[in-house]
Amino acid sequence: MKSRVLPIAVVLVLLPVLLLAQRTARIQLGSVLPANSVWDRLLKEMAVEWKEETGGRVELRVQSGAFRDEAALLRRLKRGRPHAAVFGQPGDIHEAFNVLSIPFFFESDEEAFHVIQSLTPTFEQILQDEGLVLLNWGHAGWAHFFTEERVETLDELKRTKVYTAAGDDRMLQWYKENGFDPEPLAYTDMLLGLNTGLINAHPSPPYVALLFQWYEKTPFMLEVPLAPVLGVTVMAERSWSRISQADQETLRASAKRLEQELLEDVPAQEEASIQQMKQRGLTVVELDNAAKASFRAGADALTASWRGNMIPAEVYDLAVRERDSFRASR
Amino acid sequence: MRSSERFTLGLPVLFLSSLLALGGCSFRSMAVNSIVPVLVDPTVYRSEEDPELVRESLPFLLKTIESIIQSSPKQKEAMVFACSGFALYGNGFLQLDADVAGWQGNYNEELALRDRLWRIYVRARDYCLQSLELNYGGITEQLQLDPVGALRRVDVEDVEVLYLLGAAWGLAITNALDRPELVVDLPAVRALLERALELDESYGRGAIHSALITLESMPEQLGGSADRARSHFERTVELTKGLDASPYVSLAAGVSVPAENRAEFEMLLNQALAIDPHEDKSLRLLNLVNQRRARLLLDNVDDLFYE
Repeated sequence: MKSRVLPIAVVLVLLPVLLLAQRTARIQLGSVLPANSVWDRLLKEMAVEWKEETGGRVELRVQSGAFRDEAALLRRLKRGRPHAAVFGQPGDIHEAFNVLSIPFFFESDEEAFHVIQSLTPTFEQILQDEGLVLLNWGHAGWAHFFTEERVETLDELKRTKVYTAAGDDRMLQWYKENGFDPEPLAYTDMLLGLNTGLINAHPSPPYVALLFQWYEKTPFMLEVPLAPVLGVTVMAERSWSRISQADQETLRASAKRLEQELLEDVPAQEEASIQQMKQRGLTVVELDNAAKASFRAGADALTASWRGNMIPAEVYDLAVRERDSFRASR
Repeated sequence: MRSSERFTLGLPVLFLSSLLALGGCSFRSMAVNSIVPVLVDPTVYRSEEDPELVRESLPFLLKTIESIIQSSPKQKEAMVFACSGFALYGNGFLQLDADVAGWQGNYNEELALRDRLWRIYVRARDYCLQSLELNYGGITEQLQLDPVGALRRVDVEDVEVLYLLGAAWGLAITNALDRPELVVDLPAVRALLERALELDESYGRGAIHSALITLESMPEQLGGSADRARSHFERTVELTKGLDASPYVSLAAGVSVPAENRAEFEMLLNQALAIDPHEDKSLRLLNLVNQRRARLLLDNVDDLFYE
């Protein structure tokens, strides 16, 4: 009689793997994104792909708008639920992400995503240290300055009462040191601040300015974009590790497709938002190339102090190097 | 389909077709004027004890009403009913289907329903706008450019349309936040409901207050306020003597969920479920629909709260 020891041993060894492959992982994905927005729709399309392509082993529940602020979302994520999240301001997770929002640092999506690609291993390590796995990059459009009065130069911008996020003391200090007149406010108080004249300028993506109706009080939009608003989709490592490696690869590929779709759909939404606001009184302040270059040069000089202060020096240096090499290759 | 159903459904079609086929504008006008009040009696729908019957009968009726409007484009009563009927069909039935599909993770179904929903609400909106245009030429464009100014012209006779228009427009926007061409008109929604409230605060036994619970439940960045939502909730409950399930469900979903107040959420929904839907027949249909919504929300409570 043949020994049955080996087959039994094999089965016992493989059992956890087999169970892992068969068990359905139900992943809750929280965010502050509005339900029924373009981001919500694309995440739900990704959820359909995840379910279909893993044979139902991974079910994603998209819970857009379930949180009112990302600080609370991050706390919950670290405590265990939701299991995954989208962050529109990843600088709140780690200051290295601030490199993506340096004013006038990038000139196009292509440039920004070239730098992102180069920095992704760094960001993945940072997130891993926080117990998070990076699934993809999100795009919420480009922030532009919206102002109550027409603004064409950096000096004119400095004379506005500009919104800055309450609680971000380093950003407040930076604004002040560089001659701006910042007013720290909670995001939720923006409309109140505009209505009472506490602020008369803010950096916002056009869709957000339209959705929250901020453009009505600040009907001038500086055409030269300030910075792309880049988010991340992450999953808690403890949830990710319960998914088989094969399924992990499937999920990553699907998340990557979402990233590409955002790069197509968000600029279209941004353009449509600008057109709608223009029909209702928005003026887009266009600058000639010399004025744009002057704006960027002035901003470069001001934001150099972010290095080592608001952004780790090695991350800042790498981003500058990659951006400049991309420009040189064009 | 049974033969008796075919007969009863076929008769109005034949009857209306005959009416519409008759030549002569004045005669057609007279016929339309006489049939519309009979067809568009909303009490028949509001008091219905079988929501599925309403769900199945509304599409036919609404297409009939659209035929009437096409043949008699200034038939205001028909326009207002079309506005109300499409909004009811969307909000009472398709909206819940979409929400349930979303809660259950059936996103293909949900996204298809949302795409259908905003179009139905836009259709409702457009009928209400057409009816307002009969008395206030150019008001559609004015509502888009200066909603508060546009509404200075309307009076208490218009409250029903203002309320329906505000509700339909708001529902269209919230189901299609990926469409900037709709989102841009959000200020018109608030202006319509606030003007309606100003003109007749107790209209429809708190209907405007009830709609404002949902509007004020929006994030503060969008001008919402949980405190104001609670004030509208209290006034609605007062005006309906606690017999309307709608304010309980609206406050639970709109305020308790973002406040992460699970105890309040469950208390409000249980209060909604404790209402006898047959006690006030004018609220019966909506109470039955809202109680179904309350049960589904309670069934999915673990996905709505994180602790």
